[in-house]
Amino acid sequence: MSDTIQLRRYTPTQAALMQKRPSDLIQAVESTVDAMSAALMQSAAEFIIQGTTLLTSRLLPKQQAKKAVEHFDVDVMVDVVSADWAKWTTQTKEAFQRAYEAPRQQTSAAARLRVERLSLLQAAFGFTVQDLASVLGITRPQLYKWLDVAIDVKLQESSRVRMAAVERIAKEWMARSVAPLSSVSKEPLEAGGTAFTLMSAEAINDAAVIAAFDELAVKLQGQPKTRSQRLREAGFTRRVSARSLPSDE
Amino acid sequence: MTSTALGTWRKPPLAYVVAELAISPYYSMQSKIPGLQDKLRSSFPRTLEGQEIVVDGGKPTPQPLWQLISADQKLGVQIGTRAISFHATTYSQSSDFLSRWAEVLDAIQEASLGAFVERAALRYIDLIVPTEEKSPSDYLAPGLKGIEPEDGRSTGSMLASAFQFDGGVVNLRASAPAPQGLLLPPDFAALPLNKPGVMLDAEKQLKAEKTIGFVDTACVREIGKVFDAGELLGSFSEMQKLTSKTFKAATSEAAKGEWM
Amino acid sequence: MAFGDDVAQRGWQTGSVLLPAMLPALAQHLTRPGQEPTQILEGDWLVVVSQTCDVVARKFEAEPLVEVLHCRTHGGKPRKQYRDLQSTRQLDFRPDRIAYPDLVLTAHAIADRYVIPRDVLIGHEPDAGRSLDAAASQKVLAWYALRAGRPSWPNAFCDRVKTVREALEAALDDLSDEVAEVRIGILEKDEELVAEEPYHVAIYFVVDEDVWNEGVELRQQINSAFNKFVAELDACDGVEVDQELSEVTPGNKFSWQDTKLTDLWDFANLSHRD
Repeated sequence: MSDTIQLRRYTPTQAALMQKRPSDLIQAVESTVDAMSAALMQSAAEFIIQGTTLLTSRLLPKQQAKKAVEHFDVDVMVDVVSADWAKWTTQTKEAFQRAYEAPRQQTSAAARLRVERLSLLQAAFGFTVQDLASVLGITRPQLYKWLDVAIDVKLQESSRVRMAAVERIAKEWMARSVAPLSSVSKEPLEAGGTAFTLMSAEAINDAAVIAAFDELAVKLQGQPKTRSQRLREAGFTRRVSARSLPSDE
Repeated sequence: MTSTALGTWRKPPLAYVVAELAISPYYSMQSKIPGLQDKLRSSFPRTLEGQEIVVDGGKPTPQPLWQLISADQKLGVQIGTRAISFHATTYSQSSDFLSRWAEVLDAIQEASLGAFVERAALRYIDLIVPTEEKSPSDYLAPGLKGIEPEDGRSTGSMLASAFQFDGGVVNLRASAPAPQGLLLPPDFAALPLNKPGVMLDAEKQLKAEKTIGFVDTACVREIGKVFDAGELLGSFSEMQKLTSKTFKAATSEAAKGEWM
Repeated sequence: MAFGDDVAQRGWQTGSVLLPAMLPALAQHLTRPGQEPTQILEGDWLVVVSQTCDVVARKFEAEPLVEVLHCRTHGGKPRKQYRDLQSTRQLDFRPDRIAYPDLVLTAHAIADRYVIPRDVLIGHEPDAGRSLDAAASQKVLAWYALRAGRPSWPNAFCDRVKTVREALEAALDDLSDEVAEVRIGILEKDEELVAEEPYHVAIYFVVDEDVWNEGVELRQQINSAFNKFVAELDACDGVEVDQELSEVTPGNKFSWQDTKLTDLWDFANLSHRD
């Protein structure tokens, strides 16, 4: 035994195999199996039968050997060969899939805080993702990335400033109403425009937005009751759903 | 050089904010700096090296200090063998400040320092720059005004209180008027960041030999755990609420009317 | 006295437990063809699971049989995958939190279900010391309703979603039915798609109107849950969430039409692939 660590040496084929991703290997085998011509499969099967016949004739008495190979059938053997490869790819795929089902990457503190801030904006305004994206000055797909806690997004300075500005006006709305803004955000204002257009402007005019909020908070109070509110006020109650029964944990 | 107003109030008095972690002595911090620098470079591209004198019972010893500064010089991270802190002279919302601090915390987490955090502290320095006809003490809550002996005029006052909350201790120091020439609290070690507007106004006031004041609100919480970015951020969120509550209790209605 | 009145007077209803003394007479009804007779052990409960109105139906001929469920004792806590209607096959539940605070029973929806002649009830009263409390009775009935009434999702869809089941459950941990309901529209709801073809879904968190109008904190929790749920489902291989259609919406804005086009999200719908 040597005193020094021995280097491992690989042939080019082995090295190439080592570097391939498992999914590539599986795909390669699958496509090989698919591409294997019927003739090739037949040859493989016949080879196996010939080999087995030779082996049994050497190992077993003549009569027994003859009986052993009587049941060998080329068609059956073709199925066995292709089934074996298929079995390997299936099993390997499943094992790979299981390993792949690891939880998505650990979330960072900054990402969790970012999503928490956005959830509060969603709660304050009740906007659709598209509308909230407009107010934040970004695209909808961008906002979906921001809302995904598993994605570490580095916000540009302009985005930080905009989010802080939107949070500022969210506080103003929440100081005036516990209901979300969405149901009245596109109502025409006395001064013209809507709260939504004011909030989506390139530069948010805080004074104009606050004045709009004052107007809309009053409007919200005066909205007619919904059917379900009228039902509840008349004394109708909900059936308790099964999922609201106490947990058996 | 542009100055900024900190906070969302109409005329905010906030001049400086620091979030700090006091850590157990970390002698190999020097070896971790390259990695931290790489992770924070995009937000803090400028690095300054320095030293701090540490007195740990025996002889005072110099310890290295690294200051990573943002390009606009309004934000900075200071890393030493006994503390890591985040400084700001720009502050729009507490959530924005905390999210920037969270990025620093995440970078430290990824660098796997494994530092033991003894304490966390969040400190706000607000400057009182009185408008005409007002004195600095007019901006403090009645309980902090101090006495007015007949024919006497206050030229400097400092009141210190400590308030125990469930989530930590808030140390409050209110100085109004601040002793002549004193712009910031005496034991306050600031980074070389751009001065915000209120600080420039305060300096002008001092130059004109007029009085100013300051309110120094610091929440301290014992941590006693190995560094965990998520947990620490949660602590700072709670500490922010306590400092805000204390500051609002320390200021007069007239101050709120003028600042908010 | 009418037959049903007699049964009612004795106290028989959903959740009633048959006395051990009744078991010998019921042996033949608890035996399946070609199998050994079912052993009802001492700690087991044989529980009436027919609706009370059927148990006490006036005429015998209207309801000649009563359904009973053989519930066995389960040592330990209810298993996560079988409690709270997570599985349509097996149910672990607490029968009576006050009288039997530590007792957990378990039953299979079909293998442990039997029918017995209703006239057996005339000769006896239910077990005075054991019965399902109201919550447990409701749970068992809801479990059967779920099994029968759940929408049939494609097996391929269920298999794909199972890979992120835990993450989806975690996202919905703090969401109670009284506050918001999760609904899913599946574009290819009747198709078994091959691996290369994704399922396209729309997700709705339908929020109670009062919560929508009066609770910022609760709304924030719901939005947070929605964001997590959608992100996890969209990250699932073979499932694509239509982000434009999906949203959190108040209940008074989610119409009858919308309910017809969507299913109630239920983890139990995935359990049939276990």
